[in-house]
Amino acid sequence: MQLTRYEMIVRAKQPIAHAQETIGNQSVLMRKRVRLPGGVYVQVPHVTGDTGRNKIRTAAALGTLHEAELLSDPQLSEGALRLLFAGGMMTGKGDAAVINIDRYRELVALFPPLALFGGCTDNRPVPGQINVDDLNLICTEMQHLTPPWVLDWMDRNGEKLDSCRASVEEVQRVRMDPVLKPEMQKLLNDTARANVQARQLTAEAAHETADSKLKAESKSAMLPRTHERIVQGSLFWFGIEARTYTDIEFDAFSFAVACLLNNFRVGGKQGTGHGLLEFVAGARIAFTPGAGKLENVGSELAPKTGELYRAHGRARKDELKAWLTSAINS
Amino acid sequence: MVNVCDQQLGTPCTKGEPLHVVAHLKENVVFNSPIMLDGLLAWVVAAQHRLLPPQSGEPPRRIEIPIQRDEKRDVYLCSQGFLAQEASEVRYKNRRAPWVEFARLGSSKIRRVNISLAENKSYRVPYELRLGRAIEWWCLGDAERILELLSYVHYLGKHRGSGEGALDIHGTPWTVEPCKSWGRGFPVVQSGKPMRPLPIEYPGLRAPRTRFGNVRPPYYDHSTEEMIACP
Repeated sequence: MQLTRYEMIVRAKQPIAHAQETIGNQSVLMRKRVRLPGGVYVQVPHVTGDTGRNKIRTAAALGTLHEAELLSDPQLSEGALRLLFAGGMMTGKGDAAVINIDRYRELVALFPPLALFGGCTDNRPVPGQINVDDLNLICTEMQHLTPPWVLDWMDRNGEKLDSCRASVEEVQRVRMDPVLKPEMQKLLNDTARANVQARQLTAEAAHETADSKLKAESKSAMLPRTHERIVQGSLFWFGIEARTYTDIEFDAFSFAVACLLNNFRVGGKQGTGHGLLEFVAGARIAFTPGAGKLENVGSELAPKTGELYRAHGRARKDELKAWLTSAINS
Repeated sequence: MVNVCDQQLGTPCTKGEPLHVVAHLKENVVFNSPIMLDGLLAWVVAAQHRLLPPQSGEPPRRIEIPIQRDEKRDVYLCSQGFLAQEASEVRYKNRRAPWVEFARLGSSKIRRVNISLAENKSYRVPYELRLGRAIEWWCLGDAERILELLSYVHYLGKHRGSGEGALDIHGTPWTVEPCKSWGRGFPVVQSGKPMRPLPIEYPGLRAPRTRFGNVRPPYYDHSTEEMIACP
């Protein structure tokens, strides 16, 4: 059994909109309570470990499908897709397609990320072997919890620590009502145009007479809303740790981390320029009982990362395809 | 070929001294029932042999750990974990059906995915996150071997996979130090109160609280629950 941990510093290439909840038309950033030395608790924005785990699971699954040349025409069955991307579901259905524990072990040999992330057989969940930490903002409030090598890196690279408040901004966006524009109204049919113009006249009259009921009834579909986001350029650190038993499992783990860092996006509003993170620096720590050895990790995790795993994927691609397209009950 | 069921798992405890075990937390921790030291050590031994956790109702394997056992009552001589909880907050575990992947990668036979029912139902489950700095246990055992096994444990409690319960691995995640016994009952009974789940007839108990539960790992197995004394 080998414990390996990757720790990384990542930079927000785009603002991060990872919301916790929406209050009215304002979305609020995900925050956690952090205890400062001395016992005072403060709220610090972060990206949850659940998000990181989901992203690395997705990255590993897509990377494997790509290596096995299955992405062009995947045709995955519902159960296989759920097992790959959401860990499966205990169904308790007793047909021949159910994954029993022996079959699960065969599948782990065929698709090692299944062992890392865990999954479900027909009657029990199988725990995963991977732990993904929160993405923690590098700020003064988190300084006492930040790994020493991260603080060293910050120092060496002239990066200053600031309060987490400096990394949060609030922005407003408005979804416009297209029918308010005269040039768009010209595209409407006669009835619709008449309705829109009548509504605008009613709204105008309601405003003049301060009739709030009528005003509400005739208001446009324009939607102003605000959201908090973590500012572009902010730095985060996070760790991913795995328990592996074979060389191929270890290589699959490194491959999954490399796939994640290749296109690391988190949070919402990704369609409008939010969420992209880039790798800045990293360390790999191989644990032996009682001691950890820290190695630097380059921008590509290692020159031969995933070589063994990719060869495995190519060699068994037909088996993998047969499984992924079969009627798996999970 | 060696049958794994015939192999002895772990090494029994041959020497035991009073110990104080502390896990130093870096992240906050989630648990519904106390974290048991014997369960943790048994998990490490099982993980070293790559065993799956036993299901409810499955006869559990005997796993030897470096904590002394009360042979008569088959109870490990260690307390349950005590967290000095400073605060707590409610957080949520979300699960979303991978509907984008269903659309992009799924077979053309998948015509409809119902995300409000059955296998693909999405959920948002609340849980309590406990805020504190350390969890501590008392036991009679072999300090060196306990520390060796615990060095494989970097996360405690539920939702470990997503980073909850992380220990201070860059500092000192675990300390296992000899301590002074509080006398009669150490480490499972103190002043007539149980320090861990115990059989009701355990000597030294005075009017303990009772509930259904287990007194040995696996603690989650509902099929073996009995009436026990608990802290």
